[in-house]
Amino acid sequence: MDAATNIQAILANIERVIKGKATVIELAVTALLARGHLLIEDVPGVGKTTLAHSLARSLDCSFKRIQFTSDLLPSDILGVSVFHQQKQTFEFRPGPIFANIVLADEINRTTPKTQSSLLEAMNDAQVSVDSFTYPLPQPFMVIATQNPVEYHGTFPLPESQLDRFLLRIRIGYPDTEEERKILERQQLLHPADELQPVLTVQEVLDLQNAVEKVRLDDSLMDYLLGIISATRQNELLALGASTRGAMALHKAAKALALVRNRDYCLPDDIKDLTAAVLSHRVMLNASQGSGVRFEEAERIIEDIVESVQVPL
Amino acid sequence: MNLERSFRLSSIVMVASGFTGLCLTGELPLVLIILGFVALVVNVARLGGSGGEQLHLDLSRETWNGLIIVAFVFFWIDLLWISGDLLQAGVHFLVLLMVNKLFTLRTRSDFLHLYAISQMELLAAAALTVELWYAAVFIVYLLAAIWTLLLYHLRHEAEEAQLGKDWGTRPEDSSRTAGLITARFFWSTNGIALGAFCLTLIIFFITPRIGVGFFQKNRAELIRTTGFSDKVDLGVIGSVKQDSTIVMRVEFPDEKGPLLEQVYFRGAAYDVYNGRSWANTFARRRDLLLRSDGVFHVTNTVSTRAAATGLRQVILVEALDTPALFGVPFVDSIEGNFRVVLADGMDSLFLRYPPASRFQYTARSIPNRVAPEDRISTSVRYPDAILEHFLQLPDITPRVPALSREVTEEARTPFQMAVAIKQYLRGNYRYSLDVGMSASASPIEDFLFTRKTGYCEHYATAMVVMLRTLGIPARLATGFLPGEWNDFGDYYTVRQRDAHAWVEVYFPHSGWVTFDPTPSEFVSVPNPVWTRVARILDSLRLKWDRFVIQYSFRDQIAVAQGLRNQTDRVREEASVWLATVRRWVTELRAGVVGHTPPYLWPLLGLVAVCAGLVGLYCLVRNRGALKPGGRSSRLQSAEQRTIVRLYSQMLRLLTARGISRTVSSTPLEFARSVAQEWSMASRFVDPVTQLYCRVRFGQKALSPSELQQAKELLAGLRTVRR
Repeated sequence: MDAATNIQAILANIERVIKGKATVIELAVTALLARGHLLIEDVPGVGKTTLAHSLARSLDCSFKRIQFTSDLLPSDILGVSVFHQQKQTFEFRPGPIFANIVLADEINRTTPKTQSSLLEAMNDAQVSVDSFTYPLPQPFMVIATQNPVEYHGTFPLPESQLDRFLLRIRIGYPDTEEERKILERQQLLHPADELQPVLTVQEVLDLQNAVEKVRLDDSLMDYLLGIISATRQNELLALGASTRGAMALHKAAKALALVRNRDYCLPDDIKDLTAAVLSHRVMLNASQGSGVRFEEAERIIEDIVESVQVPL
Repeated sequence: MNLERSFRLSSIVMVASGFTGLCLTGELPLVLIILGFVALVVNVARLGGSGGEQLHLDLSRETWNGLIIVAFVFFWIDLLWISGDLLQAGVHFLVLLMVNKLFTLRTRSDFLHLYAISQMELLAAAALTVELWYAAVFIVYLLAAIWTLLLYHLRHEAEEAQLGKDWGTRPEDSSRTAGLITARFFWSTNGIALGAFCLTLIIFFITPRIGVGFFQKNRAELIRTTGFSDKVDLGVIGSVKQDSTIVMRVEFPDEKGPLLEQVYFRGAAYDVYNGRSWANTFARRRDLLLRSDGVFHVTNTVSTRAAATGLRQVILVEALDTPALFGVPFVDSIEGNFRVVLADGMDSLFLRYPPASRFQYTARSIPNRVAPEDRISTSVRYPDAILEHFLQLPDITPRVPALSREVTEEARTPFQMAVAIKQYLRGNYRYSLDVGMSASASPIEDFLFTRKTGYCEHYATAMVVMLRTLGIPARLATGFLPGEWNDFGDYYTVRQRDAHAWVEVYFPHSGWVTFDPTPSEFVSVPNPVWTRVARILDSLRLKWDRFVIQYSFRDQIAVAQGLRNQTDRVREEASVWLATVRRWVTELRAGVVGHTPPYLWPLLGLVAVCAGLVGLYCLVRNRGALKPGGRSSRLQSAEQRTIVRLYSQMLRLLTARGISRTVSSTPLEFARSVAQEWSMASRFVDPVTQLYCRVRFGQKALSPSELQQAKELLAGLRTVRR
């Protein structure tokens, strides 16, 4: 099976569960192919977990779900060394992080200590416990969810840690027609449970490698850098996108081009990704509205993109 | 060698040859020469490198454009204060432009600009020099130019043709064109180039030209000569005897091979000797008669004998500081590119002023031989005028007349006496340049009795003085010996060191006859191989001057005069025309003031509004066309350029229909908005957009059928009304 068929297969598979959210699914798969991590942020009940579930189930790989709570400890995630009585040695019991796809549900509910232990694993694709380093399986992808509205008893992720997520996406409410279909279908069984895997681990790795070969024209590189530098010059933003942000946009654009069945990027790929890649990497000026900060940032980023000239 | 590389190489060779021409004129300051060559070397190095981009000067195009403005400002400063000369300042500006272009070579038009600059450099070099090397530079330039234009065309065609092929990646592309530039291709095109060059030569000799080094500002340094002014100190010729500067080249077109007898190129003659220096008391000069055939005749009566028997010489004189015209004694007629020739009482010929540059003339001489009567007659009667001037003697001791009488004891006739003295001097004195300045009151007596060594001036002066003590009229002549025979060009090369002085003795029936008492000096021949090479080069130089530079000055004058007449006539016509216009305007004004026609002002207003609208339209249109151009300089392949051009056309077309693309909308976004706003157009716009995206950003091949299809889609879009 070639890359195009594989991608079509996984997109179609997820779409069987998540109705009417083709763009969101596209972005989720993009994050997978770009070897990035995904932060899904939305109000409860719009399908954050379902999306993560569907993506994980579509791949023939291991999947773990960690429900983050305020009393969760790093060892609950990474694993722990226990003393083996018969062998008289310490033995490492891997935690739930040792999986291909990890769903970190409500990541902002746990303490910063636990958050950072997860984020280190995300960054280095390895775990260090008791001076031993254990590599994580490949592909490795963390899908984290958080609720932007409810702030009680939460520890919001700092900007530096948000930076580790390649994309931050919102799902949004489905329209009435789609919602009707969802209700009809779920009467018997949750559709995510009946999903069959369509891609093997090797195929996912192949797709990730294929992303590297996607062509990004010089003029598009200029366009991308133009957007990055525009975020740094915008007066509504206290802090523009970092170089890691630029790298993320570059990589994600290539991955999205592949998801869209092309081996070259278009300006559209970059433009469509900018909000998802950059909105959690910029810092708003204090004077900006105190409402939902991420939405505000998204709006500003979209305005910025509209001011950058697309190469002809 | 692949097409692109050979194209760039020949472009660089072409530019380099033009620039070299400019450098060799010596008009360029060293800084500019270095700058220019650095730019050329960088380009050559770029050619050699695989990607070459590592040598790319990382300045933006805007910076380079800014530098052009700086260069332009400098041009004005240069023109007004530094060099103060339009040509010089222009040449400096040209070099700066060339350097700038060499660093910003990207598009085809950059190359065309560069060619124009190099051609102007070549032209400027032509205006600044008359030297032989220019011919070499010119030939190289011509070959390179033909090559470059050929390759330029091929490259252009190849780019167009590649649109029709699946050419894939670039390395494949170079292998496709690699076989094109073969040795056979090279030689056949060069053959064509040489043929064109020969044709040019023919045209060159048929068509008259204007300007001999016309703008040559720093003229060649005048060569300083000695011995041809009104007064000559004894011993000055000795000072130039080591100087090998070429003074002139003389051809004897009627003779085959070198002349059998000794000839002299006479410049001036002197009658009065005061013991230390010679002076010419016949310095009053008269104008020579110019005959209708453009020939100056020395004698007033036309000598039919001269035409038949005279010795014809073609003399190419370097820029000398003397107005003297040289010729084998005695010149009967002279012809050349000058309006006035003067002659003094000593049969010497002069121009009014020393010529500023190398020039050429033809002289016809009748060598004077001793008439048989003079050989035998013992009693001679000299004309009084001759006796009055040519028997003058300085203060000398009686030793000299005594020596004269002793030497000529056996001689009976004045001729025999002259021969005897000549033989005596030749036989008994040693030739040497190492004489030093004599401190004694009479250097000649010093020469005759004490030192007994000397050079031509001493010998000649001694002979004149001795003859005069015997009552035989004699005078001193100065000029040049023939010098070196160049067997490649069949001419004599006369150098400073060939300067010479000799004696002219008067005989009643023969007139002035040349006697040379100086013994032949031994000339050491340097390295024969080198001499041969030098002779070949020198003969080439002469031919260049004879047939290219000095070619038909009269034609030039004729053309210049024709041009002047033409401009006079144009000026007259223009003034007549202006007068008519002025009359019309006056009448019109009178009419307007008198009774304005009711339609006149609205008409004028309408015209002005129309003109304004047209201007505005052009402005807007041009701005629209410029917008995509800003980025298109980065486009690499011809396909990308083609598709961007097509896409831009489509955008303009849609703008005209009221759907304009904002700068921040992507191709697909725009296609969607077109679909929303004007669904009819969507079926034309979408495929073109797809194709554009694929070729522009995906660098996919664009097949001719696709191109054709896109063009048809555009045509279809034109026909749809909104």
